Order: sequence, then structure tokens, then C-alpha cells
Amino acid sequence: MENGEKQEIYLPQFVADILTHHGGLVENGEQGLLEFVLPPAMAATLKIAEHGRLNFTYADIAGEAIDASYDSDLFTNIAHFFQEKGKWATATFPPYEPGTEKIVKTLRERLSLTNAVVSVGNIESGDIFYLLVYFKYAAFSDERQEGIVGVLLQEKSLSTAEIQGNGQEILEKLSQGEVIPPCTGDDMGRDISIACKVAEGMVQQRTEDLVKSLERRLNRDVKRVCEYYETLKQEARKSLEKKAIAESKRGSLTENLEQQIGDKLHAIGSEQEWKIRDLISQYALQVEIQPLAAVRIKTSSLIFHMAIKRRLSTRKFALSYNPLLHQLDRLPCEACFCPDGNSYYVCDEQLHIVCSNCLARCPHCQKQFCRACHPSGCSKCGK
Amino acid sequence: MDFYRDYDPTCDYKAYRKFIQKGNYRKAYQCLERLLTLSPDEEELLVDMVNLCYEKCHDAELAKPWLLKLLKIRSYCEDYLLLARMELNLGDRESAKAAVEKAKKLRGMKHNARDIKAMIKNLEVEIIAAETRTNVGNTLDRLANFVATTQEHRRQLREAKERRGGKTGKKKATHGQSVVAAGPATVKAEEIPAPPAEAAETTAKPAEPEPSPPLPICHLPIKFTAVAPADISTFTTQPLSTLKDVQLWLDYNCLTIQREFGELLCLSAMRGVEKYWHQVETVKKVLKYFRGRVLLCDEVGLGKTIEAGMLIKEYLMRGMAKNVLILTPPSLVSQWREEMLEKFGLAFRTSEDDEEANSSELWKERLLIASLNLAKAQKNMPVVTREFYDIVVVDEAHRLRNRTTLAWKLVNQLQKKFILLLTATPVQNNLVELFNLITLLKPGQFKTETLFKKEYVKRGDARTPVNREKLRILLRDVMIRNTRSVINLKLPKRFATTMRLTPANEEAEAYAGLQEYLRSKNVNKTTAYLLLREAGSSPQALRESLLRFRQSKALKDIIAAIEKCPSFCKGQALMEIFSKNAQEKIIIFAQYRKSVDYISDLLTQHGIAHVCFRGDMSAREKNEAIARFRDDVAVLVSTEAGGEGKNLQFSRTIINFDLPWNPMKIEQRIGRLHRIGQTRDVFIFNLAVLGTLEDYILEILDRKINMFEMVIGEIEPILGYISQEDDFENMVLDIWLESTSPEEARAGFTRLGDNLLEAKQQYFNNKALDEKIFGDDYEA
Repeated sequence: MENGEKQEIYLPQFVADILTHHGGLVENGEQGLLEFVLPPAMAATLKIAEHGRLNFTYADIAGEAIDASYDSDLFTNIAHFFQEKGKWATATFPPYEPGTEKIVKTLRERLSLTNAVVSVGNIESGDIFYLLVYFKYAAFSDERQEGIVGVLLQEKSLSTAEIQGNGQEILEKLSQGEVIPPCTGDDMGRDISIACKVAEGMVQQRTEDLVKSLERRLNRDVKRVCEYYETLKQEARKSLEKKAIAESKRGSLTENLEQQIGDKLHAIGSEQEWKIRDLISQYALQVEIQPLAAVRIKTSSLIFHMAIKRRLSTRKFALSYNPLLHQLDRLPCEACFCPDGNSYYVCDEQLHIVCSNCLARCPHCQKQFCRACHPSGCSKCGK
Repeated sequence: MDFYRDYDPTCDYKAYRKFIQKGNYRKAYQCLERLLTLSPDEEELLVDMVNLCYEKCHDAELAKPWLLKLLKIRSYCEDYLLLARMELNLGDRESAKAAVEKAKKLRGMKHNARDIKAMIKNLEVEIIAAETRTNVGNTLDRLANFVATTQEHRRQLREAKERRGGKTGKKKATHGQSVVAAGPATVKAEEIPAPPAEAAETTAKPAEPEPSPPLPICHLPIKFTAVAPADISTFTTQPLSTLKDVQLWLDYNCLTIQREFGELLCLSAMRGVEKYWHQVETVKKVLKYFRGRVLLCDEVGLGKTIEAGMLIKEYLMRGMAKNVLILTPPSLVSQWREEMLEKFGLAFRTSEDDEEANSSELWKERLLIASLNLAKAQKNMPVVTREFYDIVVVDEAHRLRNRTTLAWKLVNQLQKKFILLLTATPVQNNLVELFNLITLLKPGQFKTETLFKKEYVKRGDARTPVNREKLRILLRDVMIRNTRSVINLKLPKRFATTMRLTPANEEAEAYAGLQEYLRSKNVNKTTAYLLLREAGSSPQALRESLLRFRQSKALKDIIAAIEKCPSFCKGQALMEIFSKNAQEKIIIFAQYRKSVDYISDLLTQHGIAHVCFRGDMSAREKNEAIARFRDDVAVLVSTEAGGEGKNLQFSRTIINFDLPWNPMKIEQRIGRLHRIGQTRDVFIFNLAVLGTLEDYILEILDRKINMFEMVIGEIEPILGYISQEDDFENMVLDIWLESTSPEEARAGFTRLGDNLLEAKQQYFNNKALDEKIFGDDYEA
């Protein structure tokens, strides 16, 4: 949901929605104006009269139509409605159970662990809880990119999925009839932290082109600056060299000349250095991510109970079918939660399921260690 | 000890020759070393040894002791030259110099004195070059070429000598053979194998040009601000909402996601500003293609300040900038502040605001307007250059045209992300000024000054560009220059009439009394400024102020004179104009509210329907006043806030009931009507009472430089030429207060007028030059 993708939401429609949601009455008028009648409290929140007309264009419209463009006070004041609302909700998603046989056939292929054996045991229907978390990010340098990313997390298996677009298809199918207990603060904190990690990876991916473009421009500018100062140095040398020869011919060559050229080249060099530093800080990219909203979703589908065997140890693990995405939840990487590729490993210590990045050799002492067991660093050298 | 196994020790020299042929220099060296142990003063052996060490192994350090031994038994000029070269290679310039001196003394005795002389000269050049490059490492390409030339020359010399040696017979070759010329006769140059790597490394190879240092590859620093645990816990404690609320919240955030630069956010945030397409296009282009680093050179009156304001606002609204520094000439500081506040709602601090002007804290302000002079002051420059500014704007940037000035150095050293340089006349004397401005934006865009001049400036004429197409391509990366012709801005003519009015006796008495009071009482400058301006506006305005003073006799007399006056000359003149222009929509400008009230009363007395427009009115009242003026009444009486940004082009007549001392304010008044959308000629009436300060001002602005017929905006650069420090208001006030008689005042104003005339001429010359250089090639 980057710049271009948000065009599906129209400002007049959104304003009409929010006014009616909070008890106002709206009606489309002439010239694209929106006529409204609001309850007094709502009018006070928006700092407008209780009835009037809203103008969504930048054009001057005669009369007292209130400016409701993107940058109007009204649009800014709408944020007051969300001070205590809109961040957190629970909902249910219609249950869905696919054909078991078809899934089981391909299950072993899909759940391949490079260094362990998986055996599928009991398959049952059951309730599953997902957490759908939205994050807003802003990446800015001398240009800016913003967007919203969504992450879906299976609360039990911690399997994650990236939500493309704004997940409108999922949101549309959610309903709020049933009372769903919210998860505890600790669990939610953990889940959101995991979702954050996934979101960071998504943002990194989305800003890849921006980073490449900035880096290309930075290096182009650095090249230009370097060439400029190198040419300056050459010119300085030539000029002093001529001077030296002339002075030498006259027999008046002084010691100062050496000092002069040294100083001059040093000054040019220093200026070049800080010009490059200046360029780097000019292009430096800052990326900020903030959680925006979360929905705890209850649904029901198939749960596959499995046994993961590694050497003499066995670990039980359950993976569910995801009715929201119509696919089997992918295996989680229990260290980074955004697995790199499809290769999974199981660690020797606690049989964590980890991706190849998270069961890598320590670059310092070459010992292989599990990042889920040792999140702070190598178990041997601590780096 | 392989040597002893393989060869007969009695045939050392034979073995040496054999090893040389095979390229086994180490063993050859051992042979010679052994022979020299046995016969240390054998000249031929020493010559061979030196040649082996220096020519074959390129090891000056190894060769030097042998050469010194040789010099003990003979004194050849060439040997000393070789010693000089060795010393040079070893970095001992003094010894090299001494060896050259010795060689010079021996030169006369040689048959090949000319060659030797050339070699000595080359060596001297090398020594000088070595001296100059001591502190800068081995990067002196040019000097390396010298060395290369010398070596080549030396090689040629040696070959020539070898040839001569061949001709003169073997005996000479063995006895009179110089080290320089000598090479083992049996080994041809092309047969010489490459020296061992370690030997090559220890010897300097100045003949090879120094490669350019590799370009640094910079990686973009990315600061990833991850979600803090505190944010997560705040988030998780939020109360439960409905799904609709969550959806609306997501939609709201989608809508707040900044649009691309194609849509400007600042447009709706501007107040009372007419937006012209060329300004919008310029802003979009600067954001999208110039990435906020640009030289804005629009012709005067096309709104460079507005464009800069839009860019600032846009960057601030998009969160891409947090702090802004605007550097202007001192006289424009307050004008910038007003424009930023009124038009963009940006409350800038200025260097004129308070006592903090001298404090280093001032430069940490988020939004700051400061005079360039203050910023470049010795005490401030280090402080300013320490700060990082997201946006730096330099107004009247032609003041940075000289690279040796402090102003240029300051802006060059400022740490900034975006920089906007504003000037209508980027080139004033020569094209290098343009180069200097561009270098501030993009160092290296035109390479160096020398290369720029070589490539783009006509030889012998620093004002004429050559290679125009390439220049245009490069300039279009950094410069925008909108011209009137490009935006098709053809405004109708303007006609100004200045009415110099003879005051009634009481009026003259009051003005004279005020002058007397100001001179005799040593009234401070600010009070004098206020009272004189009020007196110039209307006697009522003056009276209003005087009543608030402690009443002395002099003041009482002035007030009495005003009160005695049955009618004022300006009022009469006003009615005269109305009688002749009854059908016209007229705007009367007056600076003071009391003057506006007086005019309003006068119009009411004469039954002329009118409406007032004042700065203290609400937006709604202002709109109503403009609407009434457009639809119902013929006259609008306005203070300075005369409906900026309001559409007043339906009127075409202005009466300046009083005259602001700041010519730019006068331009602003005229600009209310004489602007895009005006289809008829515009008439301006200026009212001035004879003998008043305004009378003198009008004299120079109207008669001397024809300001009322100039393009709006042109007065600003012209004033800039006469003084960078003082503003015009101060100048006229100083002349007035320092004059003790009308003659003196006249002389002062004549001088000021002459200066203005000269400045105007200079401005027009520069304008013509810029037109010639740039034409219409750089529009947005």
C-alpha cells in the first residue's frame, strides 16, 4: 500500500463514512460538495458548524463551503476521532476446511527440514487465532517513500505471512458478532514484536529500489566531487610547478614553495573529504516503522500435528491451514520469523525450526549456532 | 656456496658475465663482491658493480657505497650526476644538489659538455620537483613526466655514448668508460630481464604516471528506527475498538500517506497568494528533478520568493525538512519574515528579533531568517557552519558570485541537504560568477574554473559563452530561469502622475514645527521615523500620535496648527481626482488607520460611496469589503494590507494618498492591480506635500529613475546595488535628520538619486547580459 496503491480510497467517500459512523448525516450536493448535519459534540471535535457543506477541491467555491481537502484543518481534526479508537479490534473469519487428502499428499514436500525428519500425525479441526498487524513506515532522504505493510501471525505456531496491498479482502470478510477474548498483554507484546521483525524485512524489500537509486545518485555525485577536486589538485600542482621552475631559473627558489603546495593540496583534500561527508549525510536514509492497527482474528480450520525428529530427540509441532490466505501456514523461523528461502533446519539443542541464516556459522570462530537458542550471539565466542 | 661448487673461484669475472647473461643478478653480485674484496680499487670492477646494482637491480641504496668508492679513485662528471640521481631516489635532496654542483664543476673538462649540461638541467628540475612534492606523496603527475623525460633523455645519451664508445675502440671503453654510459657491452637493452620484484619495489619508478586515486564507493547510511518496546506496550494497552474504527483508521492513514511530488501539498496551505502555473511547475521540477538544489533565476516580478516559500512549505509538510535557514541582505530580513508568515503560515525567527542575534543559540533555531552579513561575521561563521540545516535559502545569491569572498565560503561550508539560490541576475560581470554559483550547488558540474573557462568562455571575452549547447545541457541540471516572454506575461502600460501639493499655511506650520521639534529635542531615531511618516501620511495621523506624547509647548503648537487647519491639501487633491475619474473603480492607499478614517470621513461628506479595507479586519470582513468594491461601490480605501492575493484587477486606478518610504512597499501597492489578469492600462496618482520628506523621495523615485514605470520587482535589485547593509528608509531618514536646511536636504537627496540612477543602469546592463547568455532556455 504505497503511494500509488492508496488511490482506491476516495477522500469524499472516507469523510462521508467517518461522519456517518459518528452519527452525522451527509448528502452529496452540487459541484461535488458534501452537505452535512452533525451532532454538537462531533462538530466541536471537528471545529466546524453543525451543518454546512464540504469542499474537497482546491478551487474557490463561492459561499461558505468548508475546505475539506487533504491538507485542510478539517482533515487534520479527523485524527481526533482516533485518539482512543481504531488501533485494536477482534473479529472472526469464516471457517474453511480444505480436502485433507490432497494436503497430506504434498505435506512432506512442503515441510522439508534439511537436517530432520517430519512425520505427520493427527489431523484435526480446531480454532485458530491470527493476529493481523498493520505498520506504517516512512523512508526519507532527499525524497520520501511511505507505505503501510500488513503482517499476519498465527499465534500458536508463530508462522508469519506478508499481506499484500491493504488486506482489504480479509478485512471485508471479518465480522464482529462473536465475543473473542483479547490475548494477554505479554503475548500480544511478543506477537507484535515478531510482526515488527517481519515488517522490517518487508520495508527493507520495499525500499530496495529507493536505496539503490539513492546509492547510485550518491556515488555519481561523489564521483563528480572527486573528479572536481582531483582536477583542482592537478591544477594546483601545475601552477606551483611552473612557479617553482620560474623561481629556480631566477635563482630565487624559496623553501616556502614546498610548504605552499603542501598546504594547498591539504586544504583541497580536506574540503573534498567534507564535501563527500556532506553528500553522504544529504543522501542518508532514515526509515521509521510504527504499528498502526491490529486485529485478533478467530477462525477455524485443519490443524496438522507433526513430530520433528533430529538424531535421538523429537519435538511435537502443529501447523494449521490458513483460511484467510487459502494455504497451509508456512513453517516459521523461530529466530527471525521472516525465513529466508525455503530451507529450514532444526537445531540440536532445543530443536528450534530455523532458516539457513539463523543456523549459520559464527564469522569469528566458525562455530555453528542457533540464533533462537542464542539470540545475543555466538555461544562460543559471544560475538 | 653453490657458486663455489659450480664455478672455478679463479674465473670469477667470467662467472659474473655469465650470470649477468642469465639474469641471475644475485650470483653476479656475489662474483663481483668477491673480486672487489680481492681488488678493492679496481676501477673497472667498481664500474661493473655500480652498473649491476643500479642499472640491473635498480637498487640505489646498494649501488651508492660502490659509487662512492669509485669516486674516491676518479672524478668524472657523469659519476657525480649518477650519484645525484641516486641521492634523489633515496630522498636526500641536499646531497643530490651537492653532487650536481660537483658535476657542474667537472663539466668543462668533458668532450660531451652539451649533453652533460642537458642532463644537469634535467636533474635540477627533478630536484625542485622532488622538493615541491615532499609533502604530498608521489602524486605529482606532472613532475613524474619530467622525470620520465629525463630518464628517456639519459637513456638516449647512454646509447649515443655507447655508440661513440664502439667507434673509438675498446681501450677507451674500459678505461675512460663512465658509469652513466656504461652498460655491460655484452648485454643488449632488450635482453635485460625484468629485475627481481623485491628490487623493483625498493626503487622509485617516477617515470610511470601516477594513477588517479581510486574513487571511493559510498554505501548509503540507512538508519532503521525499529519499533521501540515502549511503543509496543503503549499500543497493546489501547482499548478495544470496533472493526469499522480500525478500517477507518487504516483508510485515514492511507490518505495521509504523502502523495508524489506531482501533487503539491503546499498549494492548499498558502494564504492569500495567487498561484501561477510557472511557479507550480518550478516547484515540482525542483522537488522531482533537482532534488532541492537549484539556482532560481526567474526574472524579477515572477515570484522567486513565492517559489522558495512553496518549496520550504512542501518539504516541511512532507516531513523531509525540519530546520530552515534563510540568508538575505539585511534590508530584506523583515520582508522575508512577513511573507513567510502571511503567505505560508511559517513563523520564522529573525536575526533582528531580539538580543539573541548575538548569541550562538540563534543559529540553532528551527526556522531562521538571518542576514548574510551577520552569518558570515567572524564570530558567527564557525557557529553557523557547525549546524546542519535541511534547507538553506540564499536570496540575492549574486552576492556569492566571487569565490574568494567570505559569503561564498560560508555558503560553501554550510552543512545542508537542500539549497536554493535566488537571484534574477546570476551573471553580472563574467561567466565565472555563474561557475561559482553552480559550484555551491553541485561542485564539479563544470569541472574546475580553468576547465570551465577553457570549454565554455570565449577567449578574450569573459562575458560571452561558447559551446552553448553543452553549457545549456549542464546548466539545465541546476538552474531554472522563467522569463516574462516564456510565461507570456505581457502587462498593460502604467502611467504615474505625481501631484506636488502646496500645503495650507497651518499644514506647513505644523510640518515645520515638527521638524524643529525633532532637531531641537534630540528625539530618538525610531520616534522621528514614526512621526515623520505620520506627518507625511496626514496631519490627522500625526496629531493622533502627538496627543500621546507629554505635551510641551512645541507639541501643543503643532497640534493647534493641525486643528486650526480648515482643510488639507491632500483631501482637496483627492476630490479633484474623483471629479475627473467619476466612473472609475479607485483604490486609495494610506499607511495609517487615522488617515484611512480621515479619507473615509471626507468621502462620506462628499457623498462618495466607499468601503474600507484594513489589516485588522477578519477574513470574512475582508472578503465582503472586496466583494462590495467589485459589485457596489467605486472606492476602496485600504491600508498596506491592501488585499494581497485578492483579485482586484477589475480596478485600474491607484491613489497613493501617502507614500511608504520603502520603494518595495510602493511596488506592492502597484502590484495589487498591475499584475496577470489586468487588461487595461493602470493609472497611479501620487500625492505629496511640497517640502516634505515624501516630496524628496518622489522626486528621486519618480523623476530620477522612473520607478513607477519599471517592472515590479526591479527596484529591489537596484536598491541592492546602492547598499547591501542599509535599507532605503534609513538612508532617507538619515539625510533628512542630518540636514539643517532645505538646500542641504536637496543636495543629499540629489546624491542619493544619482546613486540610484547609476545602480539602475548597472542593473539594466546585468539584465541585458543575462538575457544574452540565458535567453529563454531555462524555463521550468
